[in-house]
Amino acid sequence: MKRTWIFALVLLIAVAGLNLTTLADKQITVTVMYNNTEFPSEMAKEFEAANPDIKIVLVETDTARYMAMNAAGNPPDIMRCNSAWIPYLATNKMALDITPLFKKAKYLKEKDLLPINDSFKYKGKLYGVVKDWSPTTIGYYNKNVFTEAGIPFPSPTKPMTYRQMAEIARKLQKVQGDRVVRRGLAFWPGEPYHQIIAAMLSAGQDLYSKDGTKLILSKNPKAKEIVKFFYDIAKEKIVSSPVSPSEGWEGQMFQNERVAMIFYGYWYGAMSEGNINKGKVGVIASPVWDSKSRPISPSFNIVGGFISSKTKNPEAAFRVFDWFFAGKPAQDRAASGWGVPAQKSLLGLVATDTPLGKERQLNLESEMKNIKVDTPSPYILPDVFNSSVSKNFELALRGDITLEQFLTNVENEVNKAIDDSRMSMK
Amino acid sequence: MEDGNSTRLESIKRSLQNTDKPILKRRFLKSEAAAFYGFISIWLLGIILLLVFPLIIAVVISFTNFNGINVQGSAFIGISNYIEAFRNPEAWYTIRQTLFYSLLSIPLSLVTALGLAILLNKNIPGRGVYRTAFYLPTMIPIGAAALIFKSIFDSNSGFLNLFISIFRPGTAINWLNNYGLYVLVAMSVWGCGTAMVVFLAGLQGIPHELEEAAAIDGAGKWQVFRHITWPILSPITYFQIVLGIINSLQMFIPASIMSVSTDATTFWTPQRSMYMFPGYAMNQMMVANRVGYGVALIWIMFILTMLITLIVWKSSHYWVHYSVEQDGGNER
Amino acid sequence: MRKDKNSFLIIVLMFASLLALFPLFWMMIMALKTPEELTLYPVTIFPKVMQWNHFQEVLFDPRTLDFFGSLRNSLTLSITVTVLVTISSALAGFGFARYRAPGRNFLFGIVLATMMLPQLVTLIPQYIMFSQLNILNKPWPFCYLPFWLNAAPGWGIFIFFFRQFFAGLPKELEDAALIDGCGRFRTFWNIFFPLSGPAIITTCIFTFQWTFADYLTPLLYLTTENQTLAVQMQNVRIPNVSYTLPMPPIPYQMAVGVLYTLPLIVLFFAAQRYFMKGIATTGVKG
Repeated sequence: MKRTWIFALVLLIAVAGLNLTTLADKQITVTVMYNNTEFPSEMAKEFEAANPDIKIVLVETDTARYMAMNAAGNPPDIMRCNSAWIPYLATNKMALDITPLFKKAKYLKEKDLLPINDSFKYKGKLYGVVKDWSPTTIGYYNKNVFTEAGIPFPSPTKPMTYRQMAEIARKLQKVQGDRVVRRGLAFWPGEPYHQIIAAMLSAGQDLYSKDGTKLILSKNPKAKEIVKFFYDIAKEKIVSSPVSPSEGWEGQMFQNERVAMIFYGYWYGAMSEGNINKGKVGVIASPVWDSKSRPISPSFNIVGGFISSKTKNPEAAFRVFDWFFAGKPAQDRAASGWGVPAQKSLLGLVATDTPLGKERQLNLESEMKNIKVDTPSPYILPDVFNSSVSKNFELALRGDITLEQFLTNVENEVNKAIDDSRMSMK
Repeated sequence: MEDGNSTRLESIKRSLQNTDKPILKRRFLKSEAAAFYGFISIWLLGIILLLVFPLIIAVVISFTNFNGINVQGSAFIGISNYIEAFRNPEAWYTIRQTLFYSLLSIPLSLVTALGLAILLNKNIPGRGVYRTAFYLPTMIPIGAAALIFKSIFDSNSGFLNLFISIFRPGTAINWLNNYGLYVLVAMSVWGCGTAMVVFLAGLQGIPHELEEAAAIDGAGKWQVFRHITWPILSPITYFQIVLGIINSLQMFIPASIMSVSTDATTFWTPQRSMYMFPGYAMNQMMVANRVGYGVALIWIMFILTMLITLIVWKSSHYWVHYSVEQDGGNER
Repeated sequence: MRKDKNSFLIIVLMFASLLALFPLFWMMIMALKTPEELTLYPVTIFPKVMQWNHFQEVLFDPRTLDFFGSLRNSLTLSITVTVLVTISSALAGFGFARYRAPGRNFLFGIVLATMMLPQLVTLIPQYIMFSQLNILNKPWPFCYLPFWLNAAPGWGIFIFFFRQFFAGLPKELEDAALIDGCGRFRTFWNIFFPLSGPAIITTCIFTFQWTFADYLTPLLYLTTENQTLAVQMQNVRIPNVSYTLPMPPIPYQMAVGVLYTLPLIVLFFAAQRYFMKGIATTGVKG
């Protein structure tokens, strides 16, 4: 009997302790779901030191966790997202319209926002701002490799066509038996969904119908031509693909001269030289589909954040939001050179003191004139299209399906998802 | 025990049985049933409080088109998720892959484990070292293990292809994409340490004299194994098979990590050769935003696990030797 | 003749243990190379320069990860869960093994079914439930409450384990306890539980190892400051990179992997003998 009493007592103390600790917590908590590389706990501590009334709770970005939090009715107050999410979040009323909060902003100013922030707008309302962004198809090349092969350096401002690019890559490729020692090209990411969208944009084509209710691929001859191009270079092993996978991250392999040209976007410039390639890297302008199409620098890597529509403290959340997207963290980011800042006042902070830095700046200035952001369907998240492409592309490369089937498969899968989603929205 | 004690015990027992006219409540509290429910009460309470509600939600979700994000927009769509699962060729493909993987990995890893255990049961110097060596792989975090295997089986610069290149220069066999399932099987065989330790423990429980006596009687190696070792090992094997089925049907993380993609959005889209049923369910939930369908798939997986286990259980009556009645201690 | 055979066996064992240890060796190699060297061609087997600083940075540089903090979280979580699971599994296992009651077989069937229930099914619904009950995101160490609640009823596989173990103990033990005037709980607690040392050790090792390695549940329930090592290992950063790279820094990850495995190896070494005995007495009777 005695033991039972002790047990009960311990339990009671535990419960009491639990309640006390929660009661003592007078601070407003703001839950932030962001990658720890971009919003590390040091940063949270820095903010808390300056704002003692707010406590930041950090949560790792993870789909499963986001779903669980959302289903439980308490989604994170601030969440990392890609601009492609915004139409979906807005149509589902999951993100907060932050325009009214701008008056209270300490750092963010509406006039200071670069046009790229429009990608976080949907139907005239602003649902978030850009952390930093990066024209996705900017490339880098290794000067050593080009000199060795006797090929003139590509220009940082005058674009090549995709086919010219593949032609050069073919010459730069180095194989040994079945083994690929050096790839001619690498794209971001390893699977071709972004490339297909980029090439389509450059060729002046739309993926979705005007209202975003249908994906149109199989009836579009240009789409077929573009897919065929990426299929061919994958078959030739010029780029890595499921039938010829790369052994590691190609961003690292570029530094070892194992990739000749890498189209990873602006951000990659910050690490393209690594420790061993100082002064050996040049910039390539975004390619265009054919000589007739106008140069377009599509951007998919527009990373930012939104405030949840279910947040209990929009103002506290916005204070964190404001500080993170335009305060000191934003200035540090701009100076680091990893991404292009999204505010005019920060553009001047980008470092341009190295030869590569100068070339990047030159390139960026010309790219900025031609930025185009793809408009995804508001009914699905972009992952649906991406995963469908990567799955069916592997099937096509293995010869299980033809290219026509590839197009119809992707089209059917995505359209079914759109239909399902529209049904549930009604 | 001494005789005096056991007779005293008997009399106490009798007296306990004879005092059977107390009030009902008292009788219940003294009964075995009360003791049983008393001991399992924490478990029972836990199951009722913690599992029943989530399971109901999970069943409900599987009948909706919940997309994982928009709760309000979800609608009931009856059993159409389950119907689709049976019609979808992708589901069948992944089920085939899973069954193939299980059929290969369970016997192979169990045979390896048993073989190693039999070797280690012999009087060999440094047994403890080998035992640890074979058990170590199970301690490595699964994510790291997958990265290691990816690096060993890589086509361009993997260690295995480098080794083969000594004999045939320039070899670049695409293990992960063409023989991905076998790589996963190799990984499960590599991680058979748990089973090995269990077998070894079973073998050490066999008295040596028994085997020696049989050998003196002229029994061959195989006969000793068949009539002495196996009867003791078969219940262990049975338990290991059941565990193997449960584990192999729920395997999905290594396949995703070993996948070619370096992009987070396609993390849950494993490559074709390693695409298995749980991976498919995860893909539908996390990537295609079809949580309702994904949960239905997991329910199907659960039912499949139960069915297969049931079959193994039924068959166990023919090959598993029980030295003790299966039905608990009191029957003995 | 016999000697030859033994040396043949030793060769086989050595070969097999080399195969088993090779991936470990490879993990160490990967941890000691620079990120660039990992994709170098021609491939180097041994690192050109041993990058021991990876270990140092992972351990002591908070810009990579908070190693000791995560380790503390992992240990707190694993130890508390292990204690809870062991005690309550033993209780339930004892009930199933020693007493007969209507509904016992049915309930035991449920124990077996919970063993087979995929974690994925209950993960999100349970999160919703705990969130509604408002027991999530409590200050340390109460942030582990969801795990404790899940551990408190005991885990199916270990209930099964203990049932086998207790079924094998002689009935006279119980009778002797009755004579001494022990109640049923005292019988269990003073006589049977201390006798089940090997089974307890076995349960402890497995529970500890699995909780330590669990990825999905901590990812779902814990915030970054209370996160466990198994999850934080996937989120190692490179110092001075404030950008999300598409690929985690593999050498750092592998260094954490090596450091992660060490406590487990120590645990196994320390408990090895009991461990073997524990399985011998529980596993045999299927």
